[in-house]
Amino acid sequence: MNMMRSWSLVSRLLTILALVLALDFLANTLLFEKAGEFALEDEEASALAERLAVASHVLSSAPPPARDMMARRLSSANLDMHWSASGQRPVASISLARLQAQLIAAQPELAHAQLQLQLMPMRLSKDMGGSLVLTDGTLLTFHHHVRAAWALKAGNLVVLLLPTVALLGVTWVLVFATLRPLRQLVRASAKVGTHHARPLDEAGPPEMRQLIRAFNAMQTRIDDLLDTNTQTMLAIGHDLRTPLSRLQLRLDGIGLEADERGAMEDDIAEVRDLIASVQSYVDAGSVEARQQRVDLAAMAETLVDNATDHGQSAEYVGPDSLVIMARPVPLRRALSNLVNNALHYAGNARVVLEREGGWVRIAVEDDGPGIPEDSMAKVLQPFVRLDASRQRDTRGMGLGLAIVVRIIEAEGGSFALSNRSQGGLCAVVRLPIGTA
Amino acid sequence: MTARSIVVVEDDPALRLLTARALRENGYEVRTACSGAEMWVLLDNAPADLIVLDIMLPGTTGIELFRRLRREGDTPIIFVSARGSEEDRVLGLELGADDYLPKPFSTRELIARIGAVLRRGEGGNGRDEGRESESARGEISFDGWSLSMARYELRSPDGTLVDLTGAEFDLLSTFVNQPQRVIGRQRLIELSRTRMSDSSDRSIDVLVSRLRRKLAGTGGQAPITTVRGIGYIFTADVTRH
Repeated sequence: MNMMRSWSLVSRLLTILALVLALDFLANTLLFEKAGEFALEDEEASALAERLAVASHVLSSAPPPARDMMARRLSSANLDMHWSASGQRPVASISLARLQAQLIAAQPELAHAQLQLQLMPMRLSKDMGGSLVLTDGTLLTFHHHVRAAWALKAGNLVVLLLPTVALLGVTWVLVFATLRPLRQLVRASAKVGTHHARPLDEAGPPEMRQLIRAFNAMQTRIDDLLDTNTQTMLAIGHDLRTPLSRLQLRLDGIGLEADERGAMEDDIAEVRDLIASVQSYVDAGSVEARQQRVDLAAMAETLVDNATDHGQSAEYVGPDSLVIMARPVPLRRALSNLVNNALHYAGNARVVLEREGGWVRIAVEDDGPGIPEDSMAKVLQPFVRLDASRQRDTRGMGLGLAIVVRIIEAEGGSFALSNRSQGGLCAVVRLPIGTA
Repeated sequence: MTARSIVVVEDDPALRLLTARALRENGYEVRTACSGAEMWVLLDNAPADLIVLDIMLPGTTGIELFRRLRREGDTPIIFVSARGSEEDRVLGLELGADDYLPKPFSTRELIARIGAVLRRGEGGNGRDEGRESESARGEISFDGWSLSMARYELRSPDGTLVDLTGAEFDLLSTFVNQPQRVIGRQRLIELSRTRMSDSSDRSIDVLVSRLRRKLAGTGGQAPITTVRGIGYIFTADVTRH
């Protein structure tokens, strides 16, 4: 295999083609040889030879106008004979050399009559045919029924199909193998920029290996860009916290009217929340922490109970305990974002937890206004908020659902939003239970 | 009573100054350092009652300073972080910090945290059975379950993380601090007042049943027994690490 590494894609495809042609040639040769070996039982061969010799004698001495009728009279159930003044002798596609020798050995005069034999096409009831030249140059054609020739006729069909079948099969296998790196590349492209992205092994013909090398380099650049992006967001957040602390302490140190101070403290708190939400968005993509056994039912119930303990309307429907493998900190944030969204926009939340085979389905439903269908995809994007007026009571940068999407993807699950037919929004998270 | 002495370690000059000023205005004696090295010099000159430490200092990281401080004494430490991530908080508390304060913080918050930590350090009197006890950072186990006070975490015997609400955590803390003793319902109502908007006989019963359900998990029996007409008793043996 190592020797083949340097073979280009073109040489590989050409080799495949050559291989297929060689196979085709080999198959045909073998079959022709087998046909040449075909023979009848000695008795059957001498009987056939005798009948042909007799017919040839009788017809040669009969007047031409009567010959066709006589040929038909000499015919029997398993031997059809026709006479024609002249005509094209059918060309044999496969030579039946052994059978021909057998017939001539039984009746040597058949050699003078230029005996020719051929296999008949499958659709005809007679299996074998041939022709003789009479002494005056006219033609006697015959068809003979030989049960044993059937296998040869089937072989004849295989001969016709074999090259095509072999060509298809061998080409498929070899081209499939040759293009394997390409398929890996296609699969890898779908994962670029996610946690599942891995550099590909360089394999296959030189063109493919160049492509893989370029792809790996591109993937590294994209990862670096994403990484820089993340680091920048974190650094900005980090660097803003210190001046914000100074601002807060300065504010605490000066005399101000209570309402003015309150407004400024709210502003500082809002900036702090914005920084915190960017931080969560960045953290949401992290898969550094190990997955561990987490009681998801207890987690969901705790979020609901925390809300009800603070006088809000929330409800949990599901089992008391359901253990999955997950990263608890981000998962708790994702579910808490969903519950808080429902409480904020609808004033109530209902968390329904169900097991579905190897998965668990967590639905967070509310009885609020829902989301317009055409905005459904948009709300999952980062930095998108639907309330066009940018209401003051909706804090944050529109990262809530984007954080959920990132976290659930990092956990190997899926997330979907839909409007409920009874009204209200339904956010569905599906997570693999994992080997807990 | 002499003023309590606080050392503030912070690399941002303006913030260092502002923090020091805010603390002095609240009656503390303050010394400041811009790095770990300066801090050691200050501590060599005179011990401090409390250290406010920025975890992201240049040079030696705050975490290393932390370990060394813990090795060399038990001066209470409040650590301040500009990262504000959950991991930072947990890491700090596990390293043995007495409290964690994310930036930006207000004077009010800072003073409140310092006051709480110093009160806790005074020992003995007026301590609560809640999480602000000597078990504040400890690991507690009962019936194979483990309760981490630093992480606010409860794990079942097979290591599964089981979330608790704030009120449930406080209730469980109260129970594990007084095992084998009857705790009156009235006492529990008082303790949960800050955690629940509606604190009553009924809500305590609901809270206890929630905690029981979580401790029962898949098929077990929660070690909380009702004492009719009085309150509850936590029946499991409790060990501390």
